[in-house]
Amino acid sequence: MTKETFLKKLEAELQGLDADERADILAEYREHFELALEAGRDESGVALALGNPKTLAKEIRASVLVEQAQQELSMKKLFQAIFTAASLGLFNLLIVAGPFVGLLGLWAGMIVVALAFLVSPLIELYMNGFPTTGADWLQLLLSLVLAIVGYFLGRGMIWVTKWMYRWLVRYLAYNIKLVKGKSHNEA
Amino acid sequence: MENIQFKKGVLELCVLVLVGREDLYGYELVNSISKHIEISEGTIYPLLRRLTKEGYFSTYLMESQEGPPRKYYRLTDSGMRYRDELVREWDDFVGRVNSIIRGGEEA
Repeated sequence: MTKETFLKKLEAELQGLDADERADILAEYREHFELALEAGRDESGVALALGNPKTLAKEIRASVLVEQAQQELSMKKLFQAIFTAASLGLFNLLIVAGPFVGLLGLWAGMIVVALAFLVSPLIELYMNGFPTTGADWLQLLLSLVLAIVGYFLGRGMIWVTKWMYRWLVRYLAYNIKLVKGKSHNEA
Repeated sequence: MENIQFKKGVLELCVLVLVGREDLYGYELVNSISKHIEISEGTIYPLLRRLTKEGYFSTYLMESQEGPPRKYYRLTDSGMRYRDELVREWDDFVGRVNSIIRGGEEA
């Protein structure tokens, strides 16, 4: 692989990153090539020693996306970061996606419960009409209590969602650190 | 994929120690490491990038007599603390492993 092929491949794989960031990264690899050539090494040897541009780009993208997700709360960024981290390898897919899917299920379940509690007085009114007997009033009262519980559960879930997001991002960052060393063997 | 985490940690330690000795540009650093340890040279750059983002390195460009300006890395104060911590952990680890290898001595 020539210097230009290597840099082109790397650039293509880095699509989607901030333009400045990309230019910065490419400049560094270009500098590496230039200094190596000055020292009398040949292009293909240098490219070979650098490793697979695709693997390198994946590492870089993964850490950039996690950094971005750390800075701003955005579901899109989070999913991008998870996807990229997972694409670092099957091993990684399991340890990233496994806990994530589990947590997501739990989270969705709690949200549904909170919503159901919250609307329970409406359901009660819809099913039984306006309360006339004492038992009806009791049911309505109970459903109002449920609604209050649902309200607080819902607020709690908003808080939990923020925390889950932060923890997930931190877990991803840790995870990428853990997998990074692998590319030595893929080169 | 043997010893992923081990190799990765050691590489990080080497990079921190070398840049701590004197400011270095990427190529110099890659060379001084690959002289001793077999690595895929390209992985040093993402590592440098991450350590810079984490505030352990600062960077600056400096002109050279021949060729383009070079991007130098310098160890920051928090980088020094981090390096010292890693070196301590490493010494401790090596000490324990050695005491197992030599055997006999209180394990």
